[in-house]
Amino acid sequence: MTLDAVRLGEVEQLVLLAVLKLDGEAYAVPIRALIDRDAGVKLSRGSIYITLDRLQRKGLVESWFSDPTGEPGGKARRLFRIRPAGVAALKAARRAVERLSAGTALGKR
Amino acid sequence: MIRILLRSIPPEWRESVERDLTEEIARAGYRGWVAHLWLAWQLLRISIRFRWRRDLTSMRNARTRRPFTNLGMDVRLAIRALRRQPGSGAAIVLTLALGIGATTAVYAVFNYVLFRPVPGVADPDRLITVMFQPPAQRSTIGFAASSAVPTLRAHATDLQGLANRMPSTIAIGAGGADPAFSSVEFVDGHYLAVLGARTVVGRLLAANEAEGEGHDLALISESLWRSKFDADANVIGRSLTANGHTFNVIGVLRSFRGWGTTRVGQVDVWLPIAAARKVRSDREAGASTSLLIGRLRSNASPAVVEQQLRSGYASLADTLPQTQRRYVPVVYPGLQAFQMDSVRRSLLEIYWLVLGGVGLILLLACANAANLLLARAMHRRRDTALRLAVGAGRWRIVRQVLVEAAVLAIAAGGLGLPFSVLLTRAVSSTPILSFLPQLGVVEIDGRVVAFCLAISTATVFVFGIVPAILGGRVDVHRTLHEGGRSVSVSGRLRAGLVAMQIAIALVLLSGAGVFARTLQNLYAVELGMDIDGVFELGLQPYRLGYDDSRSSRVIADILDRLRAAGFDQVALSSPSPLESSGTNVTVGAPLPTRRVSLNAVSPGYFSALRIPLLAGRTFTGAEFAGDFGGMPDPDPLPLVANASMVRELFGHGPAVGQSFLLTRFIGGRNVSTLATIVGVVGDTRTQHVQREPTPRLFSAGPSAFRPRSILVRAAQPQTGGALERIRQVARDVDPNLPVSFLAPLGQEIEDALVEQGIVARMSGLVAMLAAVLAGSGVFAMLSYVVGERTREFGIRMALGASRRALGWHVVRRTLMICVGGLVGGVMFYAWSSRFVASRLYEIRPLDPPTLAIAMALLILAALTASWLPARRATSVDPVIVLSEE
Repeated sequence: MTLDAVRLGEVEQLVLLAVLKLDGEAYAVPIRALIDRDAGVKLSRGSIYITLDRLQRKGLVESWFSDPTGEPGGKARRLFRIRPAGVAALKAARRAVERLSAGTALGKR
Repeated sequence: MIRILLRSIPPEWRESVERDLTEEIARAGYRGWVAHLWLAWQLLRISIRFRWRRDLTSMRNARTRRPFTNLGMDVRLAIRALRRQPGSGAAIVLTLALGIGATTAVYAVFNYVLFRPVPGVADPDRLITVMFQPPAQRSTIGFAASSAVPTLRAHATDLQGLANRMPSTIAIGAGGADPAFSSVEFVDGHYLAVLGARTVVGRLLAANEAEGEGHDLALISESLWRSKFDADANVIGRSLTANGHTFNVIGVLRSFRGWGTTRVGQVDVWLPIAAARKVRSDREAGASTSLLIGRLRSNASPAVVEQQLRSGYASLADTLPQTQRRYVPVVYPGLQAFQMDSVRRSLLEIYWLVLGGVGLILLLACANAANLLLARAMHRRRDTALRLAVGAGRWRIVRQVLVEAAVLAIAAGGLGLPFSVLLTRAVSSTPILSFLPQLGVVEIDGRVVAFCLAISTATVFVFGIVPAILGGRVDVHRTLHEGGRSVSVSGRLRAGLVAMQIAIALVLLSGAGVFARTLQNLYAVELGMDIDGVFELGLQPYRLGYDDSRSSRVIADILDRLRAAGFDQVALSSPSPLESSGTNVTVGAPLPTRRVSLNAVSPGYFSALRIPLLAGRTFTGAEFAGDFGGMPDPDPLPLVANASMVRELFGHGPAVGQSFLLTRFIGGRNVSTLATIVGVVGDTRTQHVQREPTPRLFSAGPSAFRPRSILVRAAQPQTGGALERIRQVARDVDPNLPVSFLAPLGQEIEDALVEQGIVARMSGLVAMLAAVLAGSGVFAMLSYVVGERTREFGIRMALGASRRALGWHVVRRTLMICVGGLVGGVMFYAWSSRFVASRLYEIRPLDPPTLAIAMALLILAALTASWLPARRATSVDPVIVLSEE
């Protein structure tokens, strides 16, 4: 895996963390709510969708469709789960931040 | 809508996005159209994100979330771009301003006439109008005794007030000027308070002053105060005369001037209702009323008030005369007048017609502006591609075009508003519509400014959105590789815009053509009489309170003096010969009963107007004089009928000598007399020249009717001094009697045709403007195309193309666009002509010669516009062009 493939943008990182935290229950609505609540970042719905799309193309998350709702013509929900590569990317990102902040006011003593 | 939006989301996402949004809607509790709107909006935003992502890489960052950073820079860029080409920029701003100004002016006029609330009235939503009408018969208006009002007031507990007023026209002398007929209202003590009228100076009438005898007090309008009293702050205590009686001014009403079937009121003076009998010398004055005004208590319902009024009116039934028992009080919301709805409807029809015309001009101007912006956006598509390639957001690119559009629109709107003020000034000095009172000064209120703002904003989107989208849709890769030289993708669209301009111009030109032909046809109609050199003098002595015998004496004197002054053909007519309906009378046994129209005339009438006598004789002096002197009618009553009336009553049989019973309404009751046809005259048309002549009877003498006009034939038609001599005669006979009307008889036709005249002239002006705009559109597009293709032309020429062939190439393109536009225009016109068909006379909307002329004009305009670009194309020097490579 090249370095480029796992380099995460800020939004990607937030979404990926949310997917990880929601653990199998992740879809666009709670992801957006969680990022808003915990990170204080209001992302547009469109951003969430295209980011999820991109993360899946990079192979960092995988998705499946839930059972459709009961009513006629009910639509299925698209759920996401993080893949090992996604976890690795998050770890790499955190390590990068830690290495960079080491020895600064931000770093661990 | 929602389905279309969903389709623009990638298929693998569509279902889940819909599911998610549905969930959020449920959670937020949106319902109905709110939910729909929200869903559509979110889908739009999401689909835009998906769409743009396709062209971009992850380079973009949070910049798009702040859509208006560097807005100032865009504005500066836009202004700089406009200043670089000041000519075309100014032209576009001017045409847009013209469109916006004209549209705003149309709205301003109709706002003044129809849409605004009645000025000077407080809280108009709580006002109601009460009319007395037969149950379930809204097309008839009746009346009730004024003495019933206190009872009605007591019953209508949901009303804060109920007021009565009597409108009238009397001679008012104010500020030292000669008395002139003016609209006045005799009002009770509640009227002005119920309306919430306020004074500029002075006070309103107290109840005892309005309804008790002996209070000679008057309120005047702000307009009369300014025109006759020079806005004198010490006007209180000054006096005015009403039919010769003196009244003291106690106050000036702010803005209020009453109302009518429109919002334009003309009342200048308000007098106590108790003074009506004295001023009008009419015992019945003020005794009955046809219209009351009420103010609802808060939260009261008009329907409940109507019930209260009806029960109040029913309780009076025993005291009411038979005629009034047939009517019930009917409550209408707001300040109404009888038949206001039908006047409103016909005015609205004209409103939409005129607005449609000026709207098309605005659309043309928008197309020009769109073409300019498009040309600019295309011109810099290499820059655009470069900016995109180095990471500019697409929104930035789109925004730049939109800002350019907004700058143009703001400039145009800023110019358009003062322009509309000028236009309305010009319009208000002419009687714009024949059945409207003079408009005075059309006020530009907040609603008009808002309208101007709204259409200016709308134009930004109309002409800015397409260039903005196309300007942003640049294929980075291709554009950069080809060096920005690829043939403009928007060429077809721009040609389409020009074709649309030609189509609109064709619609307007053809419309103007048929309107002009209609006017021509109307003026050419044979009236059946000769009105050249005939003057009409209108006098209304009865309005001064003169009784019938005194009125007759005054008129007879004037007739004699006119003859003595050398006008040998003098006649009386009631109503005027050009009036469309006379007095209604009933023809009876032995003929089948029917209502017909009767004109009262003097014997000289037919010869003065040169109406041909077809059979029998006209009236003798004796028949007229007997009647005129207040003597009883001759028995049988001699009548003259016109040809249509003879056909209607007797078919093809002989008419002269036939007798029948004639019933007239005289002095408040129906009077039947035996009548005989003594003569038959030719048919004549009325001021509505387009209408076929109607059946008409003539009787001798005006005694039973109020004389409406004196007809005077001058020896030479063009004697300018005749008018002054006639006026002098009238003044000599009775200096107190205002002349209410004095003009050539033909003036009435002019007045009746003023509407058609204005439509024809306005549409002509609009159409010429449209043709010029379309021509400039062709010119702008071709100049641009030729400029862009200079290199191509040079190569062609180097390869052996003749100059002629190149010139033809440009002209052919013009012709193709023209043909496309004309075909579209004919279709559009065929569809839209239904809106004008009812206003045409003796011409069909799709008149082939008119259409042909309009097309020829447009082709000529387009070819003229293409001449310069074609010359430029043929004067390309291949050597220079190729050496630039």
